[in-house]
Parts: sequence; C-alpha cells; structure tokens
Amino acid sequence: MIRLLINILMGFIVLYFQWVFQGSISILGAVPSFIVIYIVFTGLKYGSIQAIWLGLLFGFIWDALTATSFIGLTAFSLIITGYFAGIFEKRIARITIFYRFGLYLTFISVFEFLSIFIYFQNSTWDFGAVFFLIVIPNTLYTYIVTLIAFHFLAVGDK
Amino acid sequence: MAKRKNKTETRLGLIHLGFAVVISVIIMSLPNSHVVTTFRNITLDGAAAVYAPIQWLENFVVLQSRYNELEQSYIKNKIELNRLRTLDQENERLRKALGFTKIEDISVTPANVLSNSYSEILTSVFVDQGKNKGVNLLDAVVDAEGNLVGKVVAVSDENALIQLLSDKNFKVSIRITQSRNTGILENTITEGFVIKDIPKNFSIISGDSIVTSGYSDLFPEHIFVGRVASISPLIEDYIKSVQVDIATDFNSLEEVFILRKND
Repeated sequence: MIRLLINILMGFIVLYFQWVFQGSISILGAVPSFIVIYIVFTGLKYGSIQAIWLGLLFGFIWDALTATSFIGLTAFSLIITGYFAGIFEKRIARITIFYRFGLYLTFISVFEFLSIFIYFQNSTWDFGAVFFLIVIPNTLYTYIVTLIAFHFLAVGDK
Repeated sequence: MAKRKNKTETRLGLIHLGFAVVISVIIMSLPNSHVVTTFRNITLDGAAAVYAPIQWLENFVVLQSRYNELEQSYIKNKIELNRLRTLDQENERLRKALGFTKIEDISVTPANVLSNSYSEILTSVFVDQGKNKGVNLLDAVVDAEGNLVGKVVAVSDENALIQLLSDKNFKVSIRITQSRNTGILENTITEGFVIKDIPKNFSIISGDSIVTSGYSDLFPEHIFVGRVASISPLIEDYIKSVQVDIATDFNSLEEVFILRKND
C-alpha cells in the first residue's frame, strides 16, 4: 500500500515536471513524454495492474490539463502501453540488453502511434506527414530520454 | 503450479485492462458530460494552486524589466489611443450617417499564462482567470499586441484552458485587408498556416494584413492574425492558396487577454 502511494506521488511529480517544463525542453516541436516513461517503468517494476490504473489516472489528469479534443485519449494510450510493459515485469532482467532496448522502443512507439494517430484521425493532415514530422521525432526523443532514465534507475538489472 | 499462477495473473491483467479501456473509451465518448467537466474543472483549479509558487517566483524575477517595458509602451499607446479615439468618433459619425449597425462593444480580461503546452500535438495554454472573472466558453483570446491567440475551450471558476490558433482543429474566418477577400485560415502540417481555395482572379500580394472577418460569432472583427507570406501556384488553374505568417509567438506567451462581447 505504501509502495502504491509512493508511486502515485512519483506520478504527480512526473506530471508536474512534464506540465511545467515541456515548453523549455521541446526541440523543433517534439516533446518527450515523461509520463509514458513513468508508466513503462511502473509496468516493468510493479506489473500490469498498477501500470494500467496509474496510466488511467495520470492520462486523464493530463488530458484535463491540456487536451482540446479527445479527452481520455492519453489515458487510453497509457493503459495499453502500461499493460504491455507489465507483461515483462518478471522477464525483463533475463532479456539481453539488445532486445531490452528494442522493447523500450516498442512500448514508446505503441503509445505515440495510438495517441498521435487517433488524435489526427479526423484531420486533413496526411498520414505520411503525421508519421514523419510528428510520430518519429516524438518517439525518438522520448526513447533517448527513456534510455538515459532507465540507465540511472537500473531498470532490468538483476 | 508456477504455470497456473502465471495464467491467473495474465487473466487478472486482462480483466483490469478491459475495465480500464472501457472507462477511457466512455470518457472519450462523453467529453462534455457532467462528471468529465467537473473532473476537468477540479484538475484545472488544483493545478493552478500547485503552480502558484512558481508563478510568484517568475513574477518576482521578471517584474522590474516588465515594468520598464510596459512604461515605455504605455506612453506610445497613449499617443496612439488619442489618435484612434478621434478616428473612432469620426467613423462613428459616418456609420450613423450611412445607417450602419453599431460596432460590437468588447470587454477585456487580462490573464497570466500558467503553463504553455505548445508543440505539434499539444496546442493549448492554461491561464489564471475563469468564470469568476466573467470568462466564458468560446471567448476569443488575443496577446499583448492584440494578435489572435485562440479561444477558450474549458473554464473553471478560477482558470481556463485556451485552444491555440495552431491547433489542427482550429479554423477561423479571416479577411485580407487590402483586397477585402475572405477565407478560412487553418494550420496544416506541410504548408503551415494557409488560406485555401481562393479564386485565382482575387488579387492578393505578399505582406497584406490578415484580420478576423467577424462572420463567426466567436471572434470580433478586425483582430490582427498575420500577414500574407506567399501565394502558391494555381491549383487546377482556378484556385490558389495563401501561406500566412502568424503574428502571435506561441512560444513566448506570458499573458493573454480574453475578449467578451457585451450585449
């Protein structure tokens, strides 16, 4: 229970950091998503169930603070990402570093694909432009931050 | 035994996933429901309270330089205001003589930007004025220079969320001042801000000013939007599109002004 409360508190800190500083860390419009890094971390460390519900909570709060349409989309994307990350909770330490890095990229891609493509599905913006100019820069930026963060958090170390 | 435990855990995970997905889909389907709106308002007010210390610190650091800037612009604007007042009175007399309807009366609410979530996909800002200061849903918003910023899309008692002009869902009816052409301005990912489908015989030159047309109920007319940057080659020989340089710098918004039409 105390662990859950600490995780929720951590989530609020991550959310606050994202909300306040994302303008300063944006590079050519691309912004890393600290919230998805936090949810992937939660999934890998504490399992699917915690990642799912924390994803719902913080995704919904994030949407309430920022979304102009599709309120609940970030929550939906985080739930799915958290679930997939949680599947590897007990296995991550046994996976080689090469595949582990591939898995992190997959988790982040799942989140970015879901959130960005659903968000843009009713716009006149074409698929290629959204993919190359929004999905890829955001995914890569988040991925680099993930690798740095997970290195310091010793994710996957036995 | 371990296999069975794993199976149970997987099943449990899927049940939780199902419940959470259903909840998020319900939220997406009912964005204007009472529960979602209430949660959103509570979140906005809560976030503003948490942000208050940072805002205080920011104000403390930048206050003196802002004061000097404002003092200079105040004198300039005062002179300009006197000139415009004379023109306004003259305009009013002429409109009356021609039998035109009265120009809209607008009141202005200044607001500080608390968090700027400007990026390709997040195009909103969060401000510290809400219903208690008379801010309403869909009120127009301008920056300190009077350039169009966006419109209010969510409002709680103390705060409001503003959808920026750069949002992919934002469209605004505009007028090109020199040629008097009207059109719809929107943000596209490949061309930036454009006015599409303008008949080829309309004469538009680079540098023309673009203002709101006043055709929409949301935006009062004559709010400055930007300038014509370039005109694209003719599409199918009968229409053209115009690229626009937007006047507002979304990355450096510190305060905005919410406009409310008075009855």
